[in-house]
Amino acid sequence: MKKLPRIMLQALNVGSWVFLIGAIAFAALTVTLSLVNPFAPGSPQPATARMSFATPIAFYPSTVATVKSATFGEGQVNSESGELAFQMHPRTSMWFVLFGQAIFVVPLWLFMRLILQVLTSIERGEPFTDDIAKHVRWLGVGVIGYYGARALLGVAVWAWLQHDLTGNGIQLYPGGVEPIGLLVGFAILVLAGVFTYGARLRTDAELTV
Amino acid sequence: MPIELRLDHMLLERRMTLTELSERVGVTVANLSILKTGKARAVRFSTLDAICRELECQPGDLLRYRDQT
Repeated sequence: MKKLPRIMLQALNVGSWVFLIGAIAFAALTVTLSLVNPFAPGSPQPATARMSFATPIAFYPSTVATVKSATFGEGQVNSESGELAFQMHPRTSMWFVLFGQAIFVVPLWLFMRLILQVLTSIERGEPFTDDIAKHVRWLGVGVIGYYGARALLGVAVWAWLQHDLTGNGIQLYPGGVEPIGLLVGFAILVLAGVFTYGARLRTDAELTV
Repeated sequence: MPIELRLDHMLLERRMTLTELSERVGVTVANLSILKTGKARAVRFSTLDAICRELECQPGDLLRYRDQT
């Protein structure tokens, strides 16, 4: 097998750490900015929290509308972008930003590390090992789990918004599982099966005297 | 694995070391060790031929089936 350029692996390795450190720095900055409130206590400066949901939202007759939330008060919603914006306390906004970041950063970082381990093993000229088969299997399970969790989160948000949100002509849909994501996950699981079989053949070849 | 290779026994009978057999049959000590410890998944006819020639025995003298049920 043609060896992968070592520099590409090093770039992926460094990139994954830069990505994680950048994300942690961004989270720290978000927390700091929300704690350093220049306004007097009791009159906090509201911040705009923007949330994008997997739950599709439709409005009639306009795509942009004003809605009322029982939790956050009045807000703006854009059904085209699926974005919901509310004026809220900076600290509440901070938790939204951190939550949104965590569900994006952590799975992506884990995905990068697993890909790196697989590519490193291939570069060493040992693609068919039990460890690599296990890593590829985890990649597949991770992708399926991620898209499953996204669908569940969409349903949870939909259930919450149905009781929380009121607006003229508002229609909410619970969203659903993204088939492309699941297909990719299953394709990776099939690949993991190939690696498992390859690892077995390799062991057989090694233990043939 | 129910198939056992009695290489240890045969070497002992002929007062031969694994290294000596390795030099005679042209198989590495590591591979003969795999045979000796019963970790081997398969044995090539060429290997069996070389071992039988050097130990002056039949394949049946080397292999033994042990029922594990």
